[in-house]
Amino acid sequence: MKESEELGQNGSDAIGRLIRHAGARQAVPADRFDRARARVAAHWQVVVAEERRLRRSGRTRRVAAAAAVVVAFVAGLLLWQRSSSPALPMATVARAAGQVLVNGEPAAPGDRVATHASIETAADGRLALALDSGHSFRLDHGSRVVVAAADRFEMSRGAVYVDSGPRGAHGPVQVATPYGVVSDIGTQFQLRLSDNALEIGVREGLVQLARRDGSFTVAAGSLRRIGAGGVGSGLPLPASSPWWAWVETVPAEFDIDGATLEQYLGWYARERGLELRWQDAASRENAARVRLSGSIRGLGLEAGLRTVSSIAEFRYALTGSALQVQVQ
Amino acid sequence: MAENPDLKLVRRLLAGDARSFDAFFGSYYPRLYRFALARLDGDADLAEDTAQVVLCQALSKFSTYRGEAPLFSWLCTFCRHEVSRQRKARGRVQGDRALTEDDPAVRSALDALLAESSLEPDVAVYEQDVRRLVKVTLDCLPSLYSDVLEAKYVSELSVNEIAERLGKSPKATESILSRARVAFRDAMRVLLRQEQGGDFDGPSSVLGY
Repeated sequence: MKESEELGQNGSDAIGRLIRHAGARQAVPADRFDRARARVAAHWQVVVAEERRLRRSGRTRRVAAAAAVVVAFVAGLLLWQRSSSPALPMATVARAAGQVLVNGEPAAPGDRVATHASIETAADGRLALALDSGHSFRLDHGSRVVVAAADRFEMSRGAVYVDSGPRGAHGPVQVATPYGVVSDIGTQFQLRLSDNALEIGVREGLVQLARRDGSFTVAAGSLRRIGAGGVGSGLPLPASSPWWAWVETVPAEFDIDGATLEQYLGWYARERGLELRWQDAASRENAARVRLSGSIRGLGLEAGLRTVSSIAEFRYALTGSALQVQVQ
Repeated sequence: MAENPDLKLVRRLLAGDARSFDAFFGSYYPRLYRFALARLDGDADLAEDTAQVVLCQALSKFSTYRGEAPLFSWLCTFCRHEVSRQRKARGRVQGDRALTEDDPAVRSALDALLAESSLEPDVAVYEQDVRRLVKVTLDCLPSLYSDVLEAKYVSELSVNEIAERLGKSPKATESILSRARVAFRDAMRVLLRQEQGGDFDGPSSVLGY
């Protein structure tokens, strides 16, 4: 039936006036929408993986053993995420130490990494990736991840560290593990996977763990262990704990050329989980005025700091969990 | 017989179809957010969390969804429970909002609307509720319908402009708009009749046009 028969011109006009009178429905602010979408998407991935597991198991009885869930979850996730979509470059190798393989080939700084890539570090290998999204993504010894998408990794062993940077990266990164999907909410965090548990340590910000049985958050300064028995309670984890030490061996690169001394020192302190303390107000003001030039590319954190201090002539001291700085 | 579109969406979601997830989240999250916001004293943080929790709960229980109720009705059931839980947790029990659309009769009308009922009601209503009921009605229509109606009457876009946004021809867009108007009219009639139980002489009588 045509509208003219169904409504008539007057009916159509009246509906228009009615809707106009009511005005637009309230839109969800973009930041809220994006945040919620990331969390629901993480949960959806868990549900899909579990659904696949159940389907594969066919008519057989559902096995309650958590280990079986874990294995099937990873397999399901691999199947789901490695779709027929083309491989897209999404990161650059910032640092590689020891044996690091990307798709079976040795990786070197500057190499581009694309989606679907398989990344593996040997017992002596460590890797830092600079994601195009702005995140720093690092792998410790004996780790393996698959790049499911530009913002999603599947982790099957070892330890990874994610840093969204001091100003926050573009969108969250998700790491799927056999124990659930972890999403960053502007943070620095580490996941360590063993044969029977996942440990989530948060240095700054907040992360969310989405599981079949619900969502959990882990706050800065705490460590949570997830095993076959579920999600354990939080334990304190200081930003300067040795638990983070390996992360400093493959730091992100910082381009000092054109940056202020204040920016560099802020970055350095964040990389090391230190509190940056200025000797006095003048020190901070001076640091904000000093412009650096040159490069510290390829240098470790300590060598980089020594180099910059020789250029910019400032004094510093490491006192416990703080970096004390004086700039004249 | 054509597959129930809600069941089809759920089936695709459970199969891991990314486009279906985008459609699902894009369509239902804003509606649930508004649904929660109206019941949580405008607390946007709480509404954000509530709508998110509801979608996560629903995803976990999708294997039990049989398509007997429209998907949005089904989600609203979760949302009512979650809102109630949130209000209790925050000691807001005394201040529960009494919304027209929470009245059992109106709720049943909304469910009927979601199930694409073709009742022929007549209604009269108070003007102060009309704005919200119009928005509730839009939220209960298929997203495509509510979006084109808002684009046409609130944003005042031309059919050609809407067609461009939708990636459809002007003729197809006009047809969608036409069906959307009919669906909206029927929906409002159902709602208003349920609320008042009186006679309705068309939308103009509601607003005094």
